[in-house]
Amino acid sequence: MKFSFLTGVFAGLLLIFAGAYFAPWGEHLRLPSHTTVQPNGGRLEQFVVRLPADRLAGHGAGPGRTLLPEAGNAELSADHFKLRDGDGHVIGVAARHATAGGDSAAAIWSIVIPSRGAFVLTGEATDSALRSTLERNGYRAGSAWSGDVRVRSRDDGGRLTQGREEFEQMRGTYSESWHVTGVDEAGELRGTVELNMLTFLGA
Amino acid sequence: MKFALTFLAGLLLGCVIALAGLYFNPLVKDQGTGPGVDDWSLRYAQPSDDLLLLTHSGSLRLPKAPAGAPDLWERTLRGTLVQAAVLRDQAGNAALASRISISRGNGNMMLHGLPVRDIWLVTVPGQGSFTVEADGNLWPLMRDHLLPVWYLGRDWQGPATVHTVTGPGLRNTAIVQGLTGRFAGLTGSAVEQLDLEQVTANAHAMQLVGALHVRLTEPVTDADTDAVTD
Repeated sequence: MKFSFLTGVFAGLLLIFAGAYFAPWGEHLRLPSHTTVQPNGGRLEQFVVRLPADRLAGHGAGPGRTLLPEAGNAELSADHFKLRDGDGHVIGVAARHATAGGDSAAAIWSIVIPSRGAFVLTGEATDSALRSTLERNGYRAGSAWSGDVRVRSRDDGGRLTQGREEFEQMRGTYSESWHVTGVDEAGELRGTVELNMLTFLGA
Repeated sequence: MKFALTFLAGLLLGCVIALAGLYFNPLVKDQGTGPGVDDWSLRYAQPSDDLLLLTHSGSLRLPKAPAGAPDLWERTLRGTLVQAAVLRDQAGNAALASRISISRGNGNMMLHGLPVRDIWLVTVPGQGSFTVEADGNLWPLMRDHLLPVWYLGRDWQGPATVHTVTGPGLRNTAIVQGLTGRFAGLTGSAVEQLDLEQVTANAHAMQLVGALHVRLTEPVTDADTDAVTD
């Protein structure tokens, strides 16, 4: 009797401690990476944001959005998105800070793919170009618009500036491409954002 | 039959002892480092108008902001939290911060508690941007403040201050890396401090003032090293 009780206590301890030690807490589902090896070297990977479905929140100076009051003269906007792979599966989240205004216009993407790591992209902002292209095509703030507008940064318009975990040893460039097919009265965009990132191994 | 019942009673007792051991686990690092006196402090209040976005899988029971923010329900985003806030320093200057938190995939609750990794992107209008990479452990916060109130019906013992950062920098600090503007090329360290002002069982509410304490340093260059050698 005593033996079976003590065996039970020991089994209970073992069960919980083994569970706490070996259970895969915090592991993230990883989907296959869709990369293409380029003829001249490097690995090309595409990330996609579908608007408006993938937008978590936007604040700042985009079409129809209010300017962040603290930004002063430097127009600053922040967007937060779910991020998809080339096949359209959500694989991560992204924060994008963009400053407009002449030579200092810049966009910074902080991207986290839980199963693979994190990286930061820094490059030229396309926000002003997107807004002026929309306006040239008939968009007026406060009214709905539909059409087909594409704005793309230069192929070498941005750099991979920081990488962690899987992206730690990588360097590379990226381009940002906005394909807008509509804007609603509130300024919410409809379309896609594509990030094409060409990476190489090495410092 | 008697032996089986005795075994089950023992098993139950063993589970309870083990769970209590995990709850008060002495192997888990308890608190991170506090801020230095000269640190640049960037603060945010939660809840407040400065909290622009807070969303998660929906299972965390933390109130989202805005209330209709989309859930991060996808299996690939399990354990992910996204937060955006306007941070303010002592002089009243504002900065925009986006924080992406993920549960760490290295498991082993026995030794590590509830490990998370935070990636902050902070932009100071007109000055530039920097990132903060912070490893933290949420178990002491959960054990000492949230679980007793939210799930065990106890009164909250507060106010309280919690330091969550446990790495990956030296002396339990986060790593700061400058990106653009006046922060380009700078590195540094940071710690996060949470001043809990109120924790209530009702709707799992929590009022706090969070602060990112940043210390920036010039990078060490070859010229500096040569000067020291000479």
